[in-house]
Amino acid sequence: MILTKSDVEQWLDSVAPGIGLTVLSKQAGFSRIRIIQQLAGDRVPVETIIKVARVLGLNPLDQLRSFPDYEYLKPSSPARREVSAFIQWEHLLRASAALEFGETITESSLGPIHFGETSRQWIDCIDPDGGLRKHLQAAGPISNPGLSKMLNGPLRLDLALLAAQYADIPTVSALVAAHLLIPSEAGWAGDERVQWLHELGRVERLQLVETRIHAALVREQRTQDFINHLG
Amino acid sequence: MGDLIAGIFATVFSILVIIRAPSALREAARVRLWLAHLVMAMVLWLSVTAVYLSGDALLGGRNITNLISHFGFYLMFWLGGAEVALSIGRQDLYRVVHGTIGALVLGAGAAAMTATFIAAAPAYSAMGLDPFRGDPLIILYKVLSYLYPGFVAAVLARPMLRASVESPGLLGSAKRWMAIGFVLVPLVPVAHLGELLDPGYAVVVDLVLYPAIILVATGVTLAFIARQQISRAASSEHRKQTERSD
Repeated sequence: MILTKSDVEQWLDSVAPGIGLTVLSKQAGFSRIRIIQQLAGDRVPVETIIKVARVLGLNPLDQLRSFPDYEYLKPSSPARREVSAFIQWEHLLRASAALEFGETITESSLGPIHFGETSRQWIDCIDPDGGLRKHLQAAGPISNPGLSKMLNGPLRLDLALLAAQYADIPTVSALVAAHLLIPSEAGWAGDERVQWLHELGRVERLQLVETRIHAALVREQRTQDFINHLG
Repeated sequence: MGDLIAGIFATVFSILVIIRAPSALREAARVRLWLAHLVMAMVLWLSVTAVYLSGDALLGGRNITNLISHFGFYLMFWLGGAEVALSIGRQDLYRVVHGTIGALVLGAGAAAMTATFIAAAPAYSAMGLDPFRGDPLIILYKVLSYLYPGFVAAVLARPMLRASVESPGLLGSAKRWMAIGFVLVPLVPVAHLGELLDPGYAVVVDLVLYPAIILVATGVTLAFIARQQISRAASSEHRKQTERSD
């Protein structure tokens, strides 16, 4: 998940010759000190390459693939079973209602791709046999509480990649789940979620809505219990 | 407990008692937690030397105030432990700390604590019974005064920690602070037991007890702040919807 100083310097020479780190880092939205520290420590995270590629107007995935460790990443549509992870329950509910009434749904009406439950939903959606969390704990390695806590926010890239491999879904999806690439950069169609919802059978869709409403209810109940008794 | 620290804690809890009073008056469900705060404030005020000595003088100068303070600690965990268990949706733990088992531990602990206090019979009024700490009965009395609080904290610490990792944001932090505080509470009687081996362990008691109080109090305060935030967000959403419908 980490790139070396020599690899990154070579890459910078080829994509941004003559552009200083100060300019690049400022445009990419992080401090010059940070990138210098990353280079000095010989540990440049993928996130830095992606951000720099974006400010240079280059495709982040193509640039990432120019590094030997990431040559295997290929742009791809998401696996069918992972798409629902990227729709928040309120938007899913509204879109399902719209479909029931024969109304049109759009990508923007499906809300943001990333929200509080994205990581947890993604792991649950792609898990082929109920063993994914255990696999991540062992291969990460990461403790059970550590993983649970991480699923409240963006997933660590190494864990996301391990999950994608275990679940046998396109590896590039891991970068979307880790909040590093936006779907279009990963090779998703502009209306991927809309297409998927239209292809979903009615029973499947209602079951999904039911599952998501139940999860939201549990979350809400926990919050209410806590603030009712200790708030 | 140093007078300054005790005074600061007591003031903070007294303020919390005042802040929480309106909601306790409005909703019966919040009375138990409010009472726990009230008892904690009282216990903390009794940890200030001047308050302790004045109060004890009124009660005959035989450290009855110390016994009352420890009963207060039991009562606070009886009230607060129930609310904490319910706050994480654990009726089973509520039954443990507040049901038959909890009542037995509380009753046996309180009885044994009172018996050792009477047997030790500290002769004159002394804050924290410090001059009598060479007496094993006094140490045993102090150990027993943390029996029920230690039991409640031991029951709640792990479930609370587990609940914290599943809750994002401020609610997760509130649960985490409380859970870590609960982990420390059962160590207090153990540290008191250490005093039997070496009086120097008295310092360990302070090193464990103060952070435990700070951590739990911070957790409860964060929960209170989270509730205010959620209420504000809900009323702002309601206002927006009303404006839209208008």
